[in-house]
Amino acid sequence: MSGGTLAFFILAAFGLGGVTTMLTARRVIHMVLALSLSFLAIAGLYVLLGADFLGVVQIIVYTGAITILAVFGIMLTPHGGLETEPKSAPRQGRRMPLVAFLLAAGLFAVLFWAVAGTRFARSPFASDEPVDAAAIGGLLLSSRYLLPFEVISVVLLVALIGAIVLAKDDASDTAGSVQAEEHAGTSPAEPPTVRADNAEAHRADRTAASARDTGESGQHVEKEAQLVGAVREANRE
Amino acid sequence: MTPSELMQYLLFSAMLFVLGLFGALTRRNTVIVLLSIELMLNAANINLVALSRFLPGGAENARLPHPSLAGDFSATLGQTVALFTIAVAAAEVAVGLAALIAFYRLKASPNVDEMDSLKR
Amino acid sequence: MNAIWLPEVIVLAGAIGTLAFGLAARRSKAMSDLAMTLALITVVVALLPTVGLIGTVEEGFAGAFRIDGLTLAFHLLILIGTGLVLLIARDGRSDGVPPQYLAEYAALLLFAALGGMLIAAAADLLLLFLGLELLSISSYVLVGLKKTHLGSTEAAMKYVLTGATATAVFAFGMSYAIGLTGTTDVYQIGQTMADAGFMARYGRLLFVAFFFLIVGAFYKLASVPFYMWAPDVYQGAPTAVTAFLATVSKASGMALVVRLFLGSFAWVAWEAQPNVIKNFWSESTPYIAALSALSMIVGNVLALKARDVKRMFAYSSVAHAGYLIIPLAAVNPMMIDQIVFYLLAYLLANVGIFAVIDQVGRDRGSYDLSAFSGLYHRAPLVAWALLLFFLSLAGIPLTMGFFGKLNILLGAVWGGHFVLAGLLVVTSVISYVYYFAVLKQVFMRPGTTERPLAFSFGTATVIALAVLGTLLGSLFPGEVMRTMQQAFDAVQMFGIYQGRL
Repeated sequence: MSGGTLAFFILAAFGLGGVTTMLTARRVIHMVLALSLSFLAIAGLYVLLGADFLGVVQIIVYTGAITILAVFGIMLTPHGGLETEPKSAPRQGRRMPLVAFLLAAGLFAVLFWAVAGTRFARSPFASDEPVDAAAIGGLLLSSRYLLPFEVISVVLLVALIGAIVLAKDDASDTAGSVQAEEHAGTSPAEPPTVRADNAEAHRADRTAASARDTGESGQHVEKEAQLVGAVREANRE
Repeated sequence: MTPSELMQYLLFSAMLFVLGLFGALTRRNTVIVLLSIELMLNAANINLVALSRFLPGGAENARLPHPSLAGDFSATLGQTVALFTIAVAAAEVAVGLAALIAFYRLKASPNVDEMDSLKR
Repeated sequence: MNAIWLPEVIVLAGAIGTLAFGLAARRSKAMSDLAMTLALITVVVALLPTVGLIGTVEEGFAGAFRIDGLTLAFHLLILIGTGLVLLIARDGRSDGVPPQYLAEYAALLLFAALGGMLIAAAADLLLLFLGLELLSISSYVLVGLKKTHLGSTEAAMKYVLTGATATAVFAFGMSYAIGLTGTTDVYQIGQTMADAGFMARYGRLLFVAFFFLIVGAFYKLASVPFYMWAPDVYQGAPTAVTAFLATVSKASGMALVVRLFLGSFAWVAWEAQPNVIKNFWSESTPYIAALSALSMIVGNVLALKARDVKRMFAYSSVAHAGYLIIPLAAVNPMMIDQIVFYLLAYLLANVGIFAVIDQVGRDRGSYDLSAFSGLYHRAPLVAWALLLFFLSLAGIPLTMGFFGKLNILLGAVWGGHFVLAGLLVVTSVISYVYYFAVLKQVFMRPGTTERPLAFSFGTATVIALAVLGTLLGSLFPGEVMRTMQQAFDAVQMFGIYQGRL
């Protein structure tokens, strides 16, 4: 067994081990750590394949950025203080695990059939030389791949704007109460703190809330939110 | 690289894809579902990098002055496409987590099976 | 060389300009409203060079970017759809979207349209993928824009999760296709596959790649393997965004499927065994036909029990995706014309209906069927317009939708797919039931209020334009079809293959 093959099997074992740990772990944070191990092993595979630059990118983007982002995501969304999946039904998942298992197994059978049944022929011109990062840069600036290069920048711009728009907590002072009501559906919740310049908005909010029946559904909440928004707008000007 | 080595890589990536799909379908926490989807995208990248080392399509495709350049071109192309996939994946995770935070603000749950307000 | 990229550049510039404008005018409500108008102007300006390019067949960026009849037809569909959606969004600005995000709302609609236009113009698998992502990521955010509304954020979350899964499936298929052929060019992928002995060796993997790609692309169409997101997302999204998803997003998905299927795969023929020639199209037809049949059945049957109108239209759009796929299964000389004509009929009727849904929903605070009761007494003209749209969608004879379905039906018969043709007729009849349920509320049920329903300028414009378009298509279907065939010769798509197949 050559060194390359040995390295492949070690890395592949780490990669699959990480994934299986993810699938069996209880604590969400352990799942993320297990997955970061998988991402690291995949970076090793890239280096083995002569894709050094890609390996480095993989470590920076996946093990670095995305895993940390995921940890932040988990810390920002604690579930009742517990970060574990409930012990009562840990394996039941969100949909029928049996269906998911059959789907995955069937898909793997098809992929295995296709890959193992193919006699791959290597072209005499194929190369195993490591690829220079400069070559990738050159390709990105060639006339053909310039356009995709531009488009990916637009995609990232949209993702940036979109993430800000969605995640920004822009109305925590007034809309917070509206959201709490909509969520609970019953008693109008009082926000814990009221800033002086928004007192009027809150008064409007409370009037609107008390005017409704308690059992009403969320359809008025939107109008109420508009009302509150209008008052806030007026306060600003 | 020999054909059997290529096959190892392709089977590994197939396993990764399938396990990622299984995780995406069964995990409850949204963050984990997103990361499982990242695994599926990683599987695609391994395919690209491994297959581009093999040039099964032949040398005449690349519109290159000399076929001996085709191997390097193919390897570079495979890795470039993989880079694009990584960028797209990062963008998707960012938007996904932002959507999760927006959802969590209203419902205080990161779990997929509790996203059930839309029914009928 | 013509400026073949001008429409895309205008939309991009307009989107960034709208964003910048919104940033500058963040504090003022009147100025934020202007952002929507700016986006609308962008769409109209982008229409001019698109119309000017009609008849051009040209490649740019070393073949990655291609303008031909197919591209321009879809560009027009996407731009018209986006313009109408912007008109709805402009008047529906109180539809739960926080007022400070109006500029982002408009800009994201433009970015999404840009993604669709890039899909239509791409002859490169990588560019197709990125256009798809641009469209998807913009749509995720658009769906979640009603930030104080649980349903909207939940819909966004579901859309991201299912969409990202579909992306991964698409990328996995793409990795096989690009890796095996060593090129990203859609046409060169097809030519490499047609090389002697290539399919015999790699056929299995390429079929796997094809199905992964198609399944990933069908997600945008909301057709069967990936339709589950549609009801929730359609229901939770702001109504204008729902209209966008039902029309523009679906048209873009169709452009993606057509480019991929007809550009790379459909025409590949190979010698499977000595003296046995197989071709990709006839090998894949049964599967595509099955997906189409399932979409028609699932969509129309599930729509029967929907009480929420937006949810009903989600299922209806699944069914329409099924109709749209039929020409791909039943390959015939006019398949692309059938798809484009049907998409146009579907787009006009749907945008009109969603304009009404938006206005009624905001007036009544509910999207339940009963919100439409007595609409005839409240707004008689709009009720008649609604009748026209529903008749067209249902395919009642002598409407535009009928001629669209007739074309598809004739194509299916021509291609020998009698089962699909039969299913098209049967499921259309099923669809009468739920379309009629809405009409019954509008015309026959007394409403809780007789107060006249005022329609704002934008919504009224959308309805009027949709009525005009549908009437034109209903009265002169032959002329519309002929004009389309002359202006957007679909065969141009295969210009690159001339003399080589």
